[in-house]
Amino acid sequence: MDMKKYIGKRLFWAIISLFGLSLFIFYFGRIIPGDPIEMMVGPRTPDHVIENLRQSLALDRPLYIQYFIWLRNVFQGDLGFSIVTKRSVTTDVKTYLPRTLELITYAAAFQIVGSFLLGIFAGSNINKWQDHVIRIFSYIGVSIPAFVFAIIFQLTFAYQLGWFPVTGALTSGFAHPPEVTGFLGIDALLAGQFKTFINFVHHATLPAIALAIPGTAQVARMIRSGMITIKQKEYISMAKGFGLPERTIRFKYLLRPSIIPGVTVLGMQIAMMLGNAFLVEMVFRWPGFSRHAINAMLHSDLNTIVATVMIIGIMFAIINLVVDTIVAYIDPRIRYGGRS
Amino acid sequence: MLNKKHIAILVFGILVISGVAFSGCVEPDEEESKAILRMGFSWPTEIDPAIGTDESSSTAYTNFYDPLVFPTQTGVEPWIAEDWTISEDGTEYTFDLRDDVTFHSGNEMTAEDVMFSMERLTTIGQGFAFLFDEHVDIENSTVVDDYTVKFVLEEPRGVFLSTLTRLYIVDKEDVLNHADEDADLVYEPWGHDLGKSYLLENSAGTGPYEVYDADVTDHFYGEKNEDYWGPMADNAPDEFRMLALGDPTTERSMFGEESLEVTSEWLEYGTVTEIADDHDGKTGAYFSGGAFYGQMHTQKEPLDCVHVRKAIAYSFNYTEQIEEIFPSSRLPNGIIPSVLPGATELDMPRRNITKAEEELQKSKYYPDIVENPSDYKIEISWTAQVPATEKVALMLAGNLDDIGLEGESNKYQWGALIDAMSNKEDSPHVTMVWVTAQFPEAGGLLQARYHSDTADSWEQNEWLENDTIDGMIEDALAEPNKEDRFALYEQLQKDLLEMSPSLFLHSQFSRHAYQDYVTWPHAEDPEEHAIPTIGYNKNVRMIEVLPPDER
Repeated sequence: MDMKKYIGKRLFWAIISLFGLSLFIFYFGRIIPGDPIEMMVGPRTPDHVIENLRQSLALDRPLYIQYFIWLRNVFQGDLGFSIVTKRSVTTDVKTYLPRTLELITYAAAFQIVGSFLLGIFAGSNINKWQDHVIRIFSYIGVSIPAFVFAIIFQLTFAYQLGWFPVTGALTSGFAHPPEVTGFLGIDALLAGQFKTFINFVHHATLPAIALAIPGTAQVARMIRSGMITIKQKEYISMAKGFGLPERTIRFKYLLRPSIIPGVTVLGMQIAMMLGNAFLVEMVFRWPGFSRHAINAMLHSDLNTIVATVMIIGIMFAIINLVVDTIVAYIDPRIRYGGRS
Repeated sequence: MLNKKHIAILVFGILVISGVAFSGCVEPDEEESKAILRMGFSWPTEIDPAIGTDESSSTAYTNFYDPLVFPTQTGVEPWIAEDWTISEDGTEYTFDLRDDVTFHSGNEMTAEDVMFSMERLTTIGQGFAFLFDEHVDIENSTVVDDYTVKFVLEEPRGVFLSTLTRLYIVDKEDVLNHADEDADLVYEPWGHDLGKSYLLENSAGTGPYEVYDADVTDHFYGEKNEDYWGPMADNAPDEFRMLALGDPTTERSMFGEESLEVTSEWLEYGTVTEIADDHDGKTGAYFSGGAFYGQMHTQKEPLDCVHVRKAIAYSFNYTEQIEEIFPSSRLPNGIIPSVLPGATELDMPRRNITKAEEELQKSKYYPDIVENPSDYKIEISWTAQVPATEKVALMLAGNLDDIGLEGESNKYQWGALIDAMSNKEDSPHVTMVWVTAQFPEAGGLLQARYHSDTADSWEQNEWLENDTIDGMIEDALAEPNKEDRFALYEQLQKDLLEMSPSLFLHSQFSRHAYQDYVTWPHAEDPEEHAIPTIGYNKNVRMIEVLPPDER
């Protein structure tokens, strides 16, 4: 199977999965206890007002009709009405998602660099003190959720030491750049506002590291394990026996197969950051979509809940596709259906 | 295996991170020299005065808008309305308006705006509309001249003046200029959304602060209205910022770096004290006009028996609840907080196991309760959003055990609890909920708590549905003479206490930590300044904040 066909097949299944996910979350969201209209209006709101609101949001229609209305609107770029922000969910996504994506991109950079360096370093120093230190870090990183790191970092590096800002994405007094892409950092660079850019990065650093640590620890462990397994393979001993240069053995025969499981997990970890960002954004008051999504869930904001899950699903699908493509490129056996 | 190149990359990475870490030395373009008051709030907050009723929304209205009359500790005082006359039959209220008030837009405020504000509120039907929509005869109410407006009521309503503390005046011209005809929900006969989309992020009021930056999920920033017509403290802050908060760690950190002046309302007592103590801040509390109730379902076995309800009321340890969980609140001395005009001091039940057991023995359920206590398990619900309520639920369950009743503490998400309470069968035996007066008079809270109209709302889990009580409430609210009205309230409160539909747990004090450079009269001397109406104690124009260079 060539690469194009392989990607096409993966894309087809990704779309089917997303369709299934939309059906599931749409129905699931509507059976959660808590009438969204009752949550939206205060007590003692007259029945006719409640019914008008219910009709305007099509919540008085059968569930399958509601789903088709929602699906039709989604294809027209309308994700529905948010009962929390009282405006279109599309507007909320456009407003807040770029902030979260910026944070995740920054965190992903930390995660990729950190996990590879730590994994390779540990795998190269098996059972030495460096390996032990990295393993302890990995255990801690894997077992503690990101929001706990967020709280610890905020209290230590922002509150006690004052090295980083406590909350937000920009210090009061820094001019917001004109909106071009919606991404604060990129817009600041485009506008030549370097101070604003640095201030933004300064704000993003702690939440990004907090988000990155669990995934970094996980992937570092996998790369380390991969290296240990591959080192014991006969072809490595053979390569050494043939007198191949150490560099060639290391990068071509040892590292390349060792990182395949790590790359797969890394992709998933990056996709999972959107979910992990919920509480991290809350702790740092990061003005992103994840923080907004928590509020939406607590207030039975059905359309925002569906949009949130679909965005996470799309992110998983895209990253899965990218990872599968990379892995298929690294190891051609995969795209040929496991034939060696 | 790690060579020099890899180490170099690692060192470079560390340097980049360190560089970013110390990039705080980059100075902002604009140095912050203003006196800013940043307050934490639970979210969402509505700044459209036709939409919200909660604490944060009410605070927004107090600061971005002006009401027709202003609440005080004893009733109301003239505000936008300088004076008024009431017809003999109590159905016509004619208000003389100030002629020196301008909106944030620069438009002059006139009687047209007052009438439009009432029409807009009742047409949208949300927020505080319930105070007016069945009572004000809009069609016959008129604008007499630019500064006189006459409201005609469907029937006499003695509390009408008090309820006008919730009529916030909006700028008709500004709102209509920004009305959306393509909105999903348009109102007839207007043919548009009555400016709902616009007022999501903008203020169109005459208030002491004007919204200049809004993020509906995060904050509303207001700057001082330099042309404000009303009284304002000398050091009233240049800016008032409402922030979506609630996480104790975040608030502690922000307070520590002085990026938060006043903590949010629902932090636990210990957290508030620690935040203030750790940073030389102050703590203060004011009565919010609300009370904390254990709402007992009077139509569910065994609580349909008044003796069981009384037994529970005598079993609960009120003092321990105050000392251990809500130290800034006060033991109730009536069924509604004594700070509300029209409240009556009553001999309230306190923990007395002997009396509790005597009451239980009078119950028709007693023999069966003794035989099969698990058949009469009392479900005590509490809300996940306010963890302190779990402690109260567990305390009550323990107290019930002392008299041979079984209690079970159940956690609910707020939405799920509202849903359960909207249905008589699904409502738990007891719910732990704060209910606050929406206007400064006892009748407001009595109606919210015990009238049949609210039986399916979170304000009442009692399901009292008692025609006599309904009639007494309606008569009291209609009575134009204040003394007579208060006498009716008194009888009502006595009768309700005899029915023992609720556990009267405490009168609510809202407690906050705030910075030492802030002077907040309502919190520092509540006896003198606090107003028993939700939202009015965070009246920022009367709070003083020293500018940064004077701290």
